[in-house]
Amino acid sequence: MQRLPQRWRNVVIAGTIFLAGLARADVTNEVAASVHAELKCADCHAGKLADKHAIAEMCASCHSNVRKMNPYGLPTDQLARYKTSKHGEQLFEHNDQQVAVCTDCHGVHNILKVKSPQARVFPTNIPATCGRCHSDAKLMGQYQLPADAVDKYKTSYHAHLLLEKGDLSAPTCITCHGNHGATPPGTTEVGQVCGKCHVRQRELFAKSPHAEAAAAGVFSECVSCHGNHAIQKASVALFSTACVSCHANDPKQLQVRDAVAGLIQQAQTGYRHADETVHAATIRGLATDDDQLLLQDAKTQVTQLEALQHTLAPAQLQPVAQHSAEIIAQVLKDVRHLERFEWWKRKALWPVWAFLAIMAVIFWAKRRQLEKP
Amino acid sequence: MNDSEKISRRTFLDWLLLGGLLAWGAAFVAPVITYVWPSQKRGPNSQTVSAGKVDDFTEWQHKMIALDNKPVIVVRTPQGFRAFSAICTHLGCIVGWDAGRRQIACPCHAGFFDLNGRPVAGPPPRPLTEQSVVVINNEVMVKSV
Repeated sequence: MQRLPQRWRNVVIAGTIFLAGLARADVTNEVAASVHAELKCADCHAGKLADKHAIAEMCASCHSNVRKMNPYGLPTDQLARYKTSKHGEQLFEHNDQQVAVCTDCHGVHNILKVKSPQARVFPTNIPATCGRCHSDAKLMGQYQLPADAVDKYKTSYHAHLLLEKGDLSAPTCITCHGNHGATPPGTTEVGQVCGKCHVRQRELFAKSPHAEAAAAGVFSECVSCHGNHAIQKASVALFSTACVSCHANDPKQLQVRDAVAGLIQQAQTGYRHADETVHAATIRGLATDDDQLLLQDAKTQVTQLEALQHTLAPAQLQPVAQHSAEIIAQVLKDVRHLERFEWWKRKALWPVWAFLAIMAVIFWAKRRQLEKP
Repeated sequence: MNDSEKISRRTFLDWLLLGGLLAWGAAFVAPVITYVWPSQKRGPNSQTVSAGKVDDFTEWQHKMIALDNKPVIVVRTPQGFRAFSAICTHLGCIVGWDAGRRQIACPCHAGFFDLNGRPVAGPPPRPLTEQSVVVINNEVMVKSV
């Protein structure tokens, strides 16, 4: 710079000041649109934010302060929880500056309320936010972590519900792993994590022969059959792939599988057939109101069976399957009765047609009579 | 029958023609009459059904009824009668009454609803639709909303 002529030095200085002004204007706009619009620059930048450790402490200077957070109804244990997370352990115990800290997930000057759909931590944006680091193969390689978890999640049924159906209650990364205290659930904890939503399935699983193996840590309660990140909507087809991974040479256990899968499949097929039959009858104009009520009951039995399979006890499924079959038989009988009645009604059209034909003949005869001289 | 009383072929044909035309005319007029004076038997769209006598229910007792061909659960609470659609908002199972918890329970995935119909546990995403209940002459009448 010193070697430049005075005229060029002035140009460089003016340009730098201009660009700094533009950058500052951007920051000012971002802060003004953020949840921190009321703060002043010095509130965060009073001290030197030299590293991520300092950033976490700076954010916590307000967010761990009960008096300051009370008016906003915000919790104040984020830093304490963060320190228990894998991110926090790496930062505070190993001074690892690559791990995620507050600003990596929430943003810097542009932090928005969690409920804002544009916020990085809004449910539909969570996979992308986590994926910024967890899809980076080079970065994840340093921690011996897979870099395909987010991509797998995007193929899952959970992601389908969240990203395509817009169901904000569907699980994202943080639902299972936690947010501030993010830690991957261990083999024995997975069931607790899934059981937060799938309560009934977990209760029934506890009665199954697999519960003992899960308690011993040799069987991962949900993951062993359903997988984790790329979890798909469960169907009877899962029996043909999941069970054989452990019981391929165990004909006795495969018999139990066939019995359970058979009962479910039979009930599902029966319900679908009855539903289609009633639907078709309704379109034809038959009065199927009572049968629709019965179908609702059959649907309840079939859905119960799908949950009951977690007991892996055919004896528990049998009465429900039987009840479902009885309802379906009743529905089909009713529809047949309605169809028979409809058949007779159609047959009753013959006399009407005969009347029309006779009238036509009479008209013809009358005309001939009138035309006679 | 003498000759004067004998009906000629022409007269017989005329009678047949007149009868046929009258039947034809009636077939055209009938829909007009049912349009102008519709049948009252079917009642209003919003159905009202009886869930039974007040005395049929003890406190915290429930009953399932069909309203508009949909299952409805009626519960007697100390504050009065409450009625909700009995179709779970999760996967459409028919809910029941959990006497121990005094909550409406879905047998399929352990969803629970409080006595305002709000989901309090399990996967149901929305509250159950509440139906209006009135007691008329000691009869518990439930009306779809």
